[in-house]
Amino acid sequence: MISSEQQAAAWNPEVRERATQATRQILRVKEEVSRYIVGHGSLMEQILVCLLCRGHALLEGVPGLGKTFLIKTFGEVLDLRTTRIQFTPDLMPADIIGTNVLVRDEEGHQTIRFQQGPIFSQVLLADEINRATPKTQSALLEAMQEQAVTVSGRTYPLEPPFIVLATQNPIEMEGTYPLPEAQLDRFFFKLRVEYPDHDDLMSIVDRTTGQPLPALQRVLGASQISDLQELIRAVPAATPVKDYAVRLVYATHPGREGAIAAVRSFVRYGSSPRGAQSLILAAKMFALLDGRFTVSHEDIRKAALPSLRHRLILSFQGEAEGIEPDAIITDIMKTVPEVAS
Amino acid sequence: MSSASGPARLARALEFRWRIRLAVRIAVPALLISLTASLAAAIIHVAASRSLPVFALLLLMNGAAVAAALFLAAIRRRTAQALLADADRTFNTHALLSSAFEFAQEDPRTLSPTEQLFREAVVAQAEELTPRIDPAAVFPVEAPPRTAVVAGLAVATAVVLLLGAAGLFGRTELFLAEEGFLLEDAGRRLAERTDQDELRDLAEEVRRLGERLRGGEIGPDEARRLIDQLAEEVEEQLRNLERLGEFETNQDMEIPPQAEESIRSALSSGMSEGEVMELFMRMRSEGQTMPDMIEALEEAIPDQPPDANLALDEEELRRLLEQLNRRPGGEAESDITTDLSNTRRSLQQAGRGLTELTEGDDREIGQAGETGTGRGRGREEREPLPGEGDDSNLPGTEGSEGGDEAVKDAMTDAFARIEDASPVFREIQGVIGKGTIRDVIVRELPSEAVSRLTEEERAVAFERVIEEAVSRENTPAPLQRLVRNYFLRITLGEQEGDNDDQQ
Repeated sequence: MISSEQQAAAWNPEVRERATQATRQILRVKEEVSRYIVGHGSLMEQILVCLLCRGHALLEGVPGLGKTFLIKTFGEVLDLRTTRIQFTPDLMPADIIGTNVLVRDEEGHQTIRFQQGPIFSQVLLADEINRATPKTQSALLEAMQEQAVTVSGRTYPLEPPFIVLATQNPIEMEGTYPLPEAQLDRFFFKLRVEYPDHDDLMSIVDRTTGQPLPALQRVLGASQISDLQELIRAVPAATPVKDYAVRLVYATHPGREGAIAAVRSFVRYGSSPRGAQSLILAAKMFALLDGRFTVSHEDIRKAALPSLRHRLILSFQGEAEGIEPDAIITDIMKTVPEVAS
Repeated sequence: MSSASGPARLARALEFRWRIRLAVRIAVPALLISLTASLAAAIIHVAASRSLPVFALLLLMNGAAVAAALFLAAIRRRTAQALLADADRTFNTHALLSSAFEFAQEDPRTLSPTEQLFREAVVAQAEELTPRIDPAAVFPVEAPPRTAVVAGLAVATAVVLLLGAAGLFGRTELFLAEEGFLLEDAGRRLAERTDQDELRDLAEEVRRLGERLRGGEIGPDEARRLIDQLAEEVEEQLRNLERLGEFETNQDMEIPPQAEESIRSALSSGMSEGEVMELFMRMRSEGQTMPDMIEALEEAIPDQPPDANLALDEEELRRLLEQLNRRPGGEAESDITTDLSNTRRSLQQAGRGLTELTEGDDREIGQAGETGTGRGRGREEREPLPGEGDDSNLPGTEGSEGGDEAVKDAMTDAFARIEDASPVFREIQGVIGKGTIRDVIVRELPSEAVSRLTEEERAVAFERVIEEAVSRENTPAPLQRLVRNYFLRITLGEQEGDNDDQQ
C-alpha cells in the first residue's frame, strides 16, 4: 500500500520530469520531420508510437503520397542505422537477411562467413513490400518478431531498437503478392496515408519546387529511444480500461456471443491477441503524449483503427462487397460499452 | 493507500446518489401503474357508489410501488470503479478517478520503481481532483419522462376523492331522493289507511319529509335529524298499537259460548269445517269483530234442514273451536301496524344510509387501521334490520320469537293485498313440538291471485319483499341499493287494465 507520505511525494518532480522530457523528445522528432513533411501530423505521431512501442508500421497509400519520403525522413531524424530495401518480385530472402559466403583469408585459408543483409540495421525501410514474393516476405517474420535472424542454424540478433517501416500500394494488383496474415499480424500498426488537402498540397509544391531545405538533424538516439520505450511500458492502465480493450478485440470475432451483424457477416477471423497488446501499448503512448499518466478509454479508441484494421480477415462476402475494416471497427466501438455490464 | 482515500470516499458518495436516482427511475413507472389503479378505485368508489376501502387501497398500492422501487434500488450492485468511471466520463478526466481507485489498493511491492511512480502520480492527481467532484453532477436526480403523467394521475385521484367527499358527484342527493320517494309513499299509504288524527298527522309528516327529501329541499344533516325524530314517533305509535291489539284480541276475538250454537247449526246445515274456518279467518284479517263474524256466519248458513249426521261430536267441535280461537299464524297485526312497520323500516334505512354516506370513508380508514385488512365494516357488524333475526328466517315459525319481524311484515302485507283471491286451506298431518302426531289446518298462499294494487304500489311492495330477502342473504349494501334502484326505475303504466297483472 502507498503511504500518505508517498502520496504527498507523488507530485515530486521525478515522474513529471521524466514524462515531460519524454513528451518533449517526441515532439522534437515530430517538429524535425515536419520540416520536410507537410501535413500527416497524425501519421507521424503514429509512426513514433510504433517506434517507441517496439512495433513495426505498414504504411498503405497510393503512389506519390510521400510514403517512402516520410519513412526515409524518419530514418534520418532518428540517430539510428537506417537501410532501405526496394522490394521486387525477384528479391530473394538472402538479399534481405544475408548469406554465408566462402571467404579466403590472407594466408589462403578458406572459411565460411556470414555476410549480413540490409536487415541488420535499426530502421528498415521496406519499400513496396507487397511486390516481393511471399517467400521473401516471410524472411522478415523472425526478424520482426524475435529481433533476430537465423541462417544455417545460427541466430544473429538485431541491434535494438529494430523497427520495420514498410509501404505498400493498395491499388496495384498486377505483380504484387498480398502479405500473408501471419506477416500482417507482425505489424504493430497499419497506417493509411491519405491524400493531402489543398493547403498541404500548396505547401508541398512550395517546398519541393524551391530551394533545397536545410539538412535534417538527428534528434533521438538509440539509448534515448530505449529509455522512452521503458517509460511508456510503465504507464499504468487500470483493469476496466484493459477490459475495454479486450472486449473490443473479442468483438471482432464473428463466433463470439453478441458479435454485431457486420462482424458476423463480413469478418472471417477476428483480431489476434497481438491486437489487444497493440491497443494497450499504443494507448499508453497516447496517454503520455497527452500529458497523462494513466490510460483512458479514449486512448484505446484512438489506437483501435491502426491496431486492428489489418488484423481483421474479411470473409468472401466482405471482400466481394468491398467492406472496409475501418467501418466494422468503428461500428464495434459504438456498440461495446466502456464499462462491462 | 487506505480505503478512505479520496476516490474511495467519492465512490461512496456517488453510490448514494446513484441509488437515489435509480429509486426515482424505478418508482416513477411503478407509481404510474399503482396510481392508475388508484384512480380507477377512486372512480369506482365515488362515482359508481362502491363502498371500497379506497384510502387503504391507495396507501397499499402506492406504498408497495415506492417500497418496491426502494428495494430494487437497494439490491442493485455497481462497483465503486464503475461509479468512478461515470464520474470520469462526466468530468472528462480520462479514467483518472477510476484508475486511481484501483492503483491505491495495489501492492506496490509487485511493481517496478517506474510503474510505482506513475501510479503514485495518478493517485495524487485523483486526490487533488476529488474534492472538486460533485456527485450530484454525476448522477443528477432528474424527473423521468413520465413523471408528469404520474403527477397528473395523483392529482386526478385526489380530485376524484375530494369531489366525492364533497358530494359533487350527486351520490348523497341521489340517495336522499330515493329515500324521499320511499318515505313519501309510506307516509301516503299510512295516511290512507288510518282514521286516527294522531296517526294521520304522523303519516303526513313522514310524507312531507319524503317530499322534501325528494325535492332536495333539505341537506343530509337536517334530514337525519328529522328522520330520527320521526322514527321515534313511529316507534311510539307501534308500541301503542301493539298494546291496543293485545287488548282487542283478549276482548273480541274469543269465541263466546253462544257462537258455538251458530257453528253447530252451520255444520249440520251442510257447511264444511273449512268453509267455517275460511269465513272466520277472512273476517279476522279484515279486522271484523266477533259479533260481526257470528252474524256473517248465520247469514251464510244454507237454507236447509239440519242433518244430524253432519253434526260434529263434542271432541271434534272442541278442536274446531280451539283452532278458530287461535289467531292466524300466532299474530294479528293490522294493516296500520304493517304500514307503520314499513314506515319505521324506511326511516331507519334512510338514517342508516345517510350515516354510511357521510361517515363511510372515515369509518373505512378506521377499520383498515384496526383490522389491517383495509376493509370497511361488513354487514355482519352493522345493526340488524328491523325484524332481522339471528337464527331463523321463516315467518311465523315458533322459536323465531318475532326475530324476523320485517319478513313477517312483508308476508302480512302480501296477505292483505290479495283479498280478492280465496285463500286455500289444506289439512295436513305433521309433527309439532316433541312428537305428537296431529292434524292441522294451515292457510297457504293461493297459487294464483289477482292484485288489486296499483302498479306503483305493487312496485313498492315488491321492492320491500325483495329488499328483505336480499338483506337476509348477506348481500352487500351496494348490491341491495342496486336492487332498489332497479325497482325505482320501473316505468309505471298508465292504463288501469295493467293492474290486473298477476302477482
